[in-house]
Amino acid sequence: MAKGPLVLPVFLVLAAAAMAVMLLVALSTRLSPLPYSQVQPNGYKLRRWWFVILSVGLVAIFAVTLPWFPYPPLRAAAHAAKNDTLYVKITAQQYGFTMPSVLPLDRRIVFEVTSLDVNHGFGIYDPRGQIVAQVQAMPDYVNHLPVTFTRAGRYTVRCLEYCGIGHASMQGGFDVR
Amino acid sequence: MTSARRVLWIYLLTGIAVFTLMMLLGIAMRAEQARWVAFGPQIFYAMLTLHGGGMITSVALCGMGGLWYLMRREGELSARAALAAYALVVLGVVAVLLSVFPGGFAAGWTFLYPLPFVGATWASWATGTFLIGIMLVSLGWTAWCFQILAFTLTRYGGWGGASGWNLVFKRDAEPHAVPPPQSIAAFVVAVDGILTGMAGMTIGTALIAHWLSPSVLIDPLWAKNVTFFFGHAFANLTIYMALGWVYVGMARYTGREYHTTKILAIAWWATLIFVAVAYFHHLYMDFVQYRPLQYVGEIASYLSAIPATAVSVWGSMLLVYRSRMRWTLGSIFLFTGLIGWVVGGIGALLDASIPLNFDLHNTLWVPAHFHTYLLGGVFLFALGLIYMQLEERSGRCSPPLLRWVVGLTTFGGMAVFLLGFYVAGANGVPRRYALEPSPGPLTASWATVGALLLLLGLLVVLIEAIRLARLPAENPA
Amino acid sequence: MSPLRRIAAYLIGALTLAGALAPLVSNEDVSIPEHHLLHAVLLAGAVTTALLASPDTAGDRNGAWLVAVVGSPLLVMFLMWPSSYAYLDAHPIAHVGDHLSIALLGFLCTWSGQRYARGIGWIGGVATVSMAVLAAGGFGVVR
Ligand code: HEM
Ligand SMILES: [Cu+2]
Repeated sequence: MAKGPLVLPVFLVLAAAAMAVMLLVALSTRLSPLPYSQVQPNGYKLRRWWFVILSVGLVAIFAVTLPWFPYPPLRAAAHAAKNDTLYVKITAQQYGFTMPSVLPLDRRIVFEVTSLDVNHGFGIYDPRGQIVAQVQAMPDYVNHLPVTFTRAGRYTVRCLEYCGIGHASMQGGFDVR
Repeated sequence: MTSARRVLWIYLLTGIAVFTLMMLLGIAMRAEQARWVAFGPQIFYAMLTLHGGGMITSVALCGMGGLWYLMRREGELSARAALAAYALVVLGVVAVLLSVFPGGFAAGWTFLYPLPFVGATWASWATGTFLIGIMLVSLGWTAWCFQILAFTLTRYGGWGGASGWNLVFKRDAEPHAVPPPQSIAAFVVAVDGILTGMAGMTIGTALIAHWLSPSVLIDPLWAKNVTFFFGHAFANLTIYMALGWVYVGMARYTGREYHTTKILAIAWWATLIFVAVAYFHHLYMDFVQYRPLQYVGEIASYLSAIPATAVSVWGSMLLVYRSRMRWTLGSIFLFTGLIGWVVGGIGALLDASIPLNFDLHNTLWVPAHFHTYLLGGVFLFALGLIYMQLEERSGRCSPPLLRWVVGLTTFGGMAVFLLGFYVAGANGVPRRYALEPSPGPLTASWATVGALLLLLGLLVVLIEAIRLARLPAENPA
Repeated sequence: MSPLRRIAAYLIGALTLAGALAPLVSNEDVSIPEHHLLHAVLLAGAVTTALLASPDTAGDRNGAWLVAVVGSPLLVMFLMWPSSYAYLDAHPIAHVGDHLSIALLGFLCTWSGQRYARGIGWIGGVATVSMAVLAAGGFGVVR
């Protein structure tokens, strides 16, 4: 699922909140001034809360979102256990991709992505034009990208790592059905 | 004998001159993405290469000059050494410039191996000149860091004193031997900077070796790690350098005092580590990278928000809260710089979350967030420093109407320009595309309008700065 | 300087020199990463010697020391040029020269650092050794 469009409102809300707080602090200089010795102790108390909330919150987000990390399982055995997995080789080269033109719907696919020359990116855009998956295509290495397509249609592949002056024209595509 | 103020201005004016040139290139690129003009990919990517490297170096120059000046006020520092470091950096910039125009080098300022050597549309000499330029910048940077580190070590009693260790763990630390906040910042920047510079020299030598004898092969994953360690930390440290004078300036404009506390020292130690290991987030989409490093990358990127917000930003907000703050252009720039830093940081945290990075990596979301804290943060800090100096020297500040004009054009233009990146990035438009897929060209059009407005605002800022500089000095050096 | 420290300096210095001479007695084939790592060990010896042997003076801020601290690690990297390793393996004398230069530069970086300001030699030395270790990660690979 494409998460990109969700990120924008989250960002805007958080950014607006942070900005509002800081602007309020700026506006507070219009009120009658307080001696710093009165501001500091309360500020430090409040900061302790901020510290705790932020540290716990961030570590919790890391832990809770672990299942959504896109990486393939580390152990090859776990890989092989999924018998119906389709392995698909992808080769990137300045300025195009070698790949099949049709891929199955609702089946676990593992793309084996590599490059013949420089670093490229293998970015998959769904029929609505949103990124659904990506991985780097590197020379000398093979990256394994597990994906299951749940929407039929025409997918576009774009290069997502700067690879030379033809970079923006480096694209391909496949049908999922 | 070169005066300290002279050294400061040499750094600052060069930084601003480079910035101005690079801003024009930036606007040209955005206009190309909006399809208003068509330079073609060769020129576009040459501009991109120069803009990236040049901009980072321009704010680094401001940071180096500013922090050096602050340290110089605390004790003896050699102006000659500072100018030698400056000369090396400037020579490096000139070499990079020549490699790009006329050389046509367009492998990006991140020069990811093996790109500079494969499918090149530029001459081999351009690649070599670019690499030598990067090397010179690293050398100058490292020399500056060694000078600053040597200063804080001697001035504050060795590693224990300069790092704040004695303050945190020894009861009998003498108050006058405790480094002020900007010196703790300088210590951390210098240590990280030396590591960064060494990494820069390592990857630089490796690439030069490959350039001179192509039989020397390099591991591409290793090259990516070392390059991003260098590039990330160098760019990141520009913010931490600027914090040195943000502390000083905030205290001065609010009339309150900002001291080094145990918490501040510990926060900077944390920063020292996070700056060094957060770069792993650049390799999230390299699934072959050793897996624990991906987790380290996410956690370090996340946690770097703690010292930033809980100490530097929080401390500044406390200084400002219900103080007798003098709102001049100088203090406005410092304050809005903090806002830009935090907002950009929020964009960065989202991008540093691996599940989201899967959809955002190498989209325009990346330039969106880093332009927010580099343009809307570090660069504003640099303007703040410049205005702080000018206001202090002349004893005057700018009229309120002018502040409003600058605020609306500069900050308004900046916001529109940045939003263009954010909206496009969230919709999957790739970064570094001369010709973008939809909705790229549309967002690029607004962004170009925003950037032009910003240009207008900065012109006013420049003219006002010249006016202030020409007033008779009320507080001569 | 305490006698113990003096003895340690001589001892580690002598060991480092002996290590530099190793190609005279053994010309086993080592891979490029191993070769980088051996150089890192050599550098560690030179750095330790310099740290032990450098005087406890407060340091003097002469620009020449600074040039040596910054310049030597860079020269070390150029002496670890992987495509020269095949030649060096076949020519023990040149190889010893290469080693001696590497050790000397490691020593110079650290010593100059300590002379420039106490404590600088530490980070200069550690950084130089780290660069050699880092190089082992991928500077010169065989495909
Ligand atoms: C003044 C207004 C600025 C404008 C109009 C501008 C414009 C741009 C544009 C259009 C790009 C290319 C985005 C893409 O398609 O990937 C870019 C990239 C970049 N900019 Fe800026 N920029 C500005 C300021 C800055 C500042 C202040 C900095 C840093 C201090 C900076 C650093 C960079 C870097 C590092 C890149 C990435 C280069 C690369 O992808 O290799 N820019 N900028
Ligand atoms: Cu590409």
